[in-house]
Amino acid sequence: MLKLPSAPQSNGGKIEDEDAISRREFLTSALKMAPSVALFVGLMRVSPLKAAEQALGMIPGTNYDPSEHLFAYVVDINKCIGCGMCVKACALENKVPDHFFRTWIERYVVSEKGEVIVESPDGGINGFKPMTPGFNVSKSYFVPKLCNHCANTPCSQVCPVGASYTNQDGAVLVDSKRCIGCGYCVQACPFGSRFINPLTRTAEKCTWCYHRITKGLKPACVEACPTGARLFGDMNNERDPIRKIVTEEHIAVLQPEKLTKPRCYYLGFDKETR
Amino acid sequence: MGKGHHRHLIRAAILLGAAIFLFFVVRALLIPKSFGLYGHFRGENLAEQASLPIVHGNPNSCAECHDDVWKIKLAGRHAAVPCQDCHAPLTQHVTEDGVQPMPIHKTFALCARCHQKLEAKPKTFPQIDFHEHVVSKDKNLENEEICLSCHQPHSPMGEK
Amino acid sequence: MLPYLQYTFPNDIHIHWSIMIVMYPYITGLVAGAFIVSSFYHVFQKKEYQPIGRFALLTSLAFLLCATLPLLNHLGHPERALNIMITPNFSSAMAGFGILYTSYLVVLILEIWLVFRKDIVHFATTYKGIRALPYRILTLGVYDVSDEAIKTDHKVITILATIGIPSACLLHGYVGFLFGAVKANPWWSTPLMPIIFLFSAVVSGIALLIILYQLMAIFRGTEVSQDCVRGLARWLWYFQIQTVTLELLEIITLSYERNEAWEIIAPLLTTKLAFSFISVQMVLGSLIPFILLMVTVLLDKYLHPKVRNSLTFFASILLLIQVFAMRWNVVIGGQIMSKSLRGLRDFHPEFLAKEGILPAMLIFALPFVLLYFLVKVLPPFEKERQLAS
Repeated sequence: MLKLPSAPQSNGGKIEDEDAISRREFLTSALKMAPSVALFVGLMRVSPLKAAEQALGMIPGTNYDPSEHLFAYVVDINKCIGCGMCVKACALENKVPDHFFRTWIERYVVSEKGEVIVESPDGGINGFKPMTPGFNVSKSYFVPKLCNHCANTPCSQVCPVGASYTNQDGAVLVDSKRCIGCGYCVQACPFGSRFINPLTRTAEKCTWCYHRITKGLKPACVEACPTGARLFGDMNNERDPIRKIVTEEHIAVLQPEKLTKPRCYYLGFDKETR
Repeated sequence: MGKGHHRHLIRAAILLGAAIFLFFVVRALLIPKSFGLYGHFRGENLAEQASLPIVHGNPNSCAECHDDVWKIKLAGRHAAVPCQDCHAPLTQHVTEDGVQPMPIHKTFALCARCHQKLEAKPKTFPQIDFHEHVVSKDKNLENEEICLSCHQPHSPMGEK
Repeated sequence: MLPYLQYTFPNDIHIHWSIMIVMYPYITGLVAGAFIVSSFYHVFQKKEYQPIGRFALLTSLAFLLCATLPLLNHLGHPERALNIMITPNFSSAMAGFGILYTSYLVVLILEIWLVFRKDIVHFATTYKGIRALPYRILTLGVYDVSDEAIKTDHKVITILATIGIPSACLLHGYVGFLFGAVKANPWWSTPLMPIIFLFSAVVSGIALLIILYQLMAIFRGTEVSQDCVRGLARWLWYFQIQTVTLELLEIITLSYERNEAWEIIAPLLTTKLAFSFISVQMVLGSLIPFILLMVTVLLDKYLHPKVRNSLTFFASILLLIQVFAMRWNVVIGGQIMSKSLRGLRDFHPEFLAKEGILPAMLIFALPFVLLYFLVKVLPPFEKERQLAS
C-alpha cells in the first residue's frame, strides 16, 4: 500500500508578468502550486487506506476469518493409485475447461539405468492404462500435482495489477475481474499450475476450493481421494493431523531450489520428481 | 538563459503538469472501493471466491437418506471410497427442483481406475490383471458391467 | 529425441506468449535503437550524423506510438489494460511499464517539439487556414524563435536527449528484464538478458536507419552522405559484435556450467530452434553481416560509394532479421521448452488468427505509415525544409 506523505507547506506569492519571470520567481510560483501538489499526492494513494495490522474480521457472507487460519496441503506419494478421481472431482467442482488442469497426476517410470519416463495423459482425469516403457522398470509411482500456494510465490509477485494475490490464510487466489490476461503469472510459475482460461481469458489456478474451505469443507480433490493420498488442514489448529505430519515427518517440496516456499508438502518424494 | 525567451517551455510544463494531475484524478476515481482493504488486491474478491457454488457435498451427507447402504459400505473394504466418486456430485442428485436420479457408473472402466494392475501402484493395494482375472473365471470382457456379476460394489469382498 | 525428453506439464500445451510478444520487444528495440542514433548528433555532437538526427527522432516516435499495439492485441482483457496504471503492483517488473513508457514518450515528444519548433512556428505563420491549425496548436501560442529562444531550446534539447538515452535504455532493458528475471524459465533467467536486449536493440535501430535513410535518399533524389553511412556502419559492426558475443556467452555459460537445464536447452537449440537459431540468428543474421561490415569498415578507402551503400544496406537487412530471430528464439524458444524441463512442445504460428502472422505484419507496417505522415508534417531533411522556407 502506498504511504501518504505529508503535504509540502504552501508559500504565498504573486504571479508576475510571464515575460519577466526569473528563476527565483519561477520557484515562487512553483511553491504556489503546493496545495495542488498536496491534493495530487492525496490522489496517489490507494483508497481506502486501512492499517495493515487491523483485524480483518469475517469475509462478508461467511463465518470465516482468514486471519485465524494458515492452510497446508500434504500429498502422500506412497498412497496414490493414479485413479484420477481427484482430477475429475476438481474439474466438476470448479468447471475447469477441458484440457486444462488445476490438479493433475503424473506417472514416473524409472529404469535400473536411471532412464525416466514421465507422462500425464489428459492430466490423468481418466486414470492410467498399462504401459510398455521399453526397459526394465525398477520403480514407478504416481505424483499428484496442484498449485503449491507458495508463501514466496513468483506468480503473485509478477502480477502487474494486483489481480493475483496471496491471502492471509495462505491461499494464492486470482481476481478474475481485475486480471488483464497478460499471462506473466503463467510464465512465472515454475510448476505449470496456472493457465489462461480460454473462456474467461483470465488466469486460473487451484484455489484449494476456496468456496469449500471457507465453509469448513475439504477441497474437492481431498474429498474424492479413496486412499487418503491427499490431505488438507489448518496449521493454526493444534489438533489438525496435518500439523503433525508437516512438523514431524520427513517432507519435501517441489523444486526447492526455486525458493518459492510451497505450502504443499510431499511424503515419499523421489529425486526424479520435478 | 535569455530572459523572457522560455515562455513556451513554461507553457509546456504547465500542460504536462495538468495532464499528470488529470491522470491522478481519473485514477483515484477508477480504483475499486475495496482495493487495498486486506492487501494489494480487491478485498471484495474474497467474498466472491467464497460464494462460488459448492458441487460436491459433504461426504457424510449421503448417510442422511441412505443409512442402509452407508452401513454396508462402512463395514466393507470400500469403506474409505467416497460415494461421489462412483456416483456423481451430490448437487446433481439433490437439486433445487427436488431429488433427481443419481447417475451410477457400473462399467469395468470405473473399477479399472483403481484396480487395474499397474507398476506405479503401491504393492499393497488390491489390483488385478483384468484379462487374466476375468478370462480365468471363464467370462468375457464384452459385458461392460462384468465386475458387478460377482462383486457387490458397496462391499466387494463381503464383510472384512 | 531422447525418449525421456517427452513430458510437458499438462497446462503447458499452449505457447501463450506468441508472435505478438515477439513483436513487442522488436518494436521497442527499434525505438531505443533509433533514439540512440539520434543522440549521436543531439548529444554527442557528431556532425556526420546531422543528416539523420531529426529523422531518427521521428522514427523512434513512430515506433513508440505502435509499441503497445501488440501487447493490447495479446491481452485477454485489453479493456482492462489501464489497471496497470490504476492499481500497479510494484513488486512486478511489468507494473513499471506504464511509467517507463509514458515518461519516455513525454521526453521524446518534448525533444521532437523543441527540435522542430522553429519549423513549427514557420509553418504556423506561412500556411493559411486549416493547414496552419495543427502548427498553431503546436506552437502553444508562443512564436518566439529569436536566437536567444533557440539557444535556450538547444540547451533543453541536450538535457532531454541526455535524459532520453537512459530512458530509452530503461524502456528496453526493462523488456529484457521481464524475461531475464523469470526464474521459472532457465532459458530466460539470466542477468545477461537485459544487456543482450539492449545491444541488439541498438543494432536493430542503426540497421533500420541505414535502410530508411538510403531509401529516403533514393525517393527524394538526394545524395547519401558517405560520412553518415561510414559512421553508422562502424557503429553497427561494433554493436553487432557485442551482441553476438553476449548471445554466445549466455549459451556457452549454460553449457560449460553443466546447468541442470542444459539437458533440455541443448536439444531445444538443435531440434526445434535449429532453423531459427542456428541458420537464421547465427549464420545468416550474424556471420554474413559480420563479414559484410568487416569489408565495409576495414576496406573503407577502396570502396566506391555505391558499394559501400549496398554492403551496409544488405548487412542491415540481415541484422534486422537477426534481431527478430533473436526475439523469436528467446520468447518462443523459452516456451517450447516445458517447465517440466522434460519435454519440448511444437509451435505452429497461424496466419489469420488474432495473434497470427497477418496481424503481426499489419502492426509492423503501421509505424512506417505513421513515419510517412510524420515526415510530411515535420520534414526532417534539409532539402525539404529549405524548400518550405
